[in-house]
Amino acid sequence: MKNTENKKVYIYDGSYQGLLTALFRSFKQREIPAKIIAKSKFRDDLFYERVEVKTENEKAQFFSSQIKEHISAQALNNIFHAYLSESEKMELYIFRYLFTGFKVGKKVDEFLTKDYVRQVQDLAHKVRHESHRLKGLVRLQEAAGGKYYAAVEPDYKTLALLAPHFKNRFSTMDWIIHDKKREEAVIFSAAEKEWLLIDLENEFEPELSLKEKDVQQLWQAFFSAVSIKNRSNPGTQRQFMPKKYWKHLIESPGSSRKFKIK
Amino acid sequence: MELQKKLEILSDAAKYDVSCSSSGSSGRGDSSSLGNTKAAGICHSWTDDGRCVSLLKILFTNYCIYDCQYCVNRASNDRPRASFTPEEVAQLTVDFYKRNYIEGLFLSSAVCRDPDWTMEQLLKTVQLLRNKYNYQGYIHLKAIPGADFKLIYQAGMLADRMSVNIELPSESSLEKLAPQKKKAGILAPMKGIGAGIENNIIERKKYKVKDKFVPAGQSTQLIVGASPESDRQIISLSEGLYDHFNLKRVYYSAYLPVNNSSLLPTIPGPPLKREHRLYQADWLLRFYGFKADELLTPGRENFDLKIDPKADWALNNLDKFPVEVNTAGYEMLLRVPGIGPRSAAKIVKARKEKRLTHYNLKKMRIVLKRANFFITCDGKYAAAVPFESSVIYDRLAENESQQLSLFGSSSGSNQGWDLEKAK
Repeated sequence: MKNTENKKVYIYDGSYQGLLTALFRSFKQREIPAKIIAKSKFRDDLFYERVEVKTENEKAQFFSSQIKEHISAQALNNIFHAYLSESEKMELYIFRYLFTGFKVGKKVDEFLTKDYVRQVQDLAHKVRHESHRLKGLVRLQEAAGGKYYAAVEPDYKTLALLAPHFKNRFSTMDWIIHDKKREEAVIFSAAEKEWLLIDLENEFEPELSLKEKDVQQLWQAFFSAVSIKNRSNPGTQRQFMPKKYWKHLIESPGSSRKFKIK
Repeated sequence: MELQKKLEILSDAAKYDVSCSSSGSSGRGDSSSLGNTKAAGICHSWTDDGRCVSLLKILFTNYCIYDCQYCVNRASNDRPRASFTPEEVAQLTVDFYKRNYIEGLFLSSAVCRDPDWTMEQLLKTVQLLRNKYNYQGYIHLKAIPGADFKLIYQAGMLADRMSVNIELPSESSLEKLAPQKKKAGILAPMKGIGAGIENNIIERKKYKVKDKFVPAGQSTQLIVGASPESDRQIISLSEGLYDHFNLKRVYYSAYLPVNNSSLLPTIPGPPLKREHRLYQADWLLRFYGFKADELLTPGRENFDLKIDPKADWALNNLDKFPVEVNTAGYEMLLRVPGIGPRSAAKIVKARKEKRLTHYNLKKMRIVLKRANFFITCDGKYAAAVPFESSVIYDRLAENESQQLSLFGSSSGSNQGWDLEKAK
């Protein structure tokens, strides 16, 4: 692969399929782009030639099967999760990771002294970590009509990772998990047994069922009662459950200090 | 009594049980049932004391016929008392579970009327959950010492984990502080559950039996600091329990003075540091390939509260160090203070590609704060101090003042638990 004279910027639509199409094009054309960037983040740049990549699902599909075959399923997972981090320069790290990956195969994950391998793994790890955290911290509320609703504001785009988990767990319920930050939601129907990613505006708030407040109160009471006073340790509490997640919890951390059995 | 009041009383009474793990069980539940279990376990919240909440941890009742000295719920204590019904517990669990508050239920109980009656109530609750509500989430159940083993076995077929608390590190202490429990027998149900798990695994392999018995294993808990046993006795006991009783976990609970009793020591606060060191040692037993008699030897009865047990071991075996990271085996890397299973695995992987330097280790996010004193990279020793035990000790020691040991260093007369006899 040789570096062409005029440097190119690949612009994709921001979707995972789009990114895969852009990457596929680069490997196919044997050219190294100076940048790969989502359309929404792109600022006009005089020095580079712009190449807009149109998302093509077949190409994306083909490319991911190539990654799985020639590198590993683990590598495919890593780049998907790194993509979900939406972090700056993530695309280029993924590109270089794959570049090495197609040369050395599944051993790429052992190249820990290479910056880009570590970056991809670290980003993927952060995304998985937050999604694991959210599996515990998501709080569903029963809405009128027996459907369940939860709001979250995660750092990363984790809905696609949460959906399969909650599908397995609450397969007999209808539920929505709403990412308020990105104005997206996963919606699951018990009848269809399938989940779907939809757009949902930030302001959406469902009406709650009659019983809901009572159950929430029970939970708050339980939460305050289980804490042992002489072992109070708010530092550890925040370490595992940072304050940024408190907004959508039902319980209120710190409440046990006021709690007393009458 | 109102449900909320009951919940407050009975969760307050259950909070001294340490275990809240929801791991080790998987594959329960399908698309027609509510809930499933995850092998890795999931924490759902953290209380103000920094412990995770993954299970709805409650007592079925706190009316107790026993009068154990160390327990808040002892019969002679004047506290608010309450009892649930099986239906109430089941309904509450399902309500919380559906809202993703919890990973499952941890149901324990004081002994009300007699052990059999109490165990029956626990069994009824679990049956309701599994059969009526088709609930397939996690259930941790206490086996009541002294109850008929048939009841315990039936419950074990429905629960994920069971536990019997061994309570104190030696039989003589239990005799002294909880005479009624001692009589009811703690090791017998423990042994029964352990054997049940083993048989079930064999049966499942051999005859394709589908039902699992206590798939997430059994655990136990003991109180540290209410009786005079040394750390060495405690970790030897843990090792024995892991080796012979098929236990998944032993939990340690720093003694909290909740009662006034002449049989109990008076202490300024719970020995949290000591509890922490015991947990560290416990991890060394289970995941790092250490043996109890390597960590503490006769004459060195207790852990140094200032440095962790692994660093302590390394300083006492300084002839095995420094370790060359590019050639040392995985087992030896694991024994370096500051390097755990993850870091050791990373090193073993990365050094296949090239020889590692300190810079590489740092970039791989391997914490060198402690490890630096015990390793060389390509022959280079990078800690800026002489390689001497006392110097390194000073660097590693935590600055806080040492909590004083209450009972001095040893008490040779104490017999400990006789695991051999129980087998």
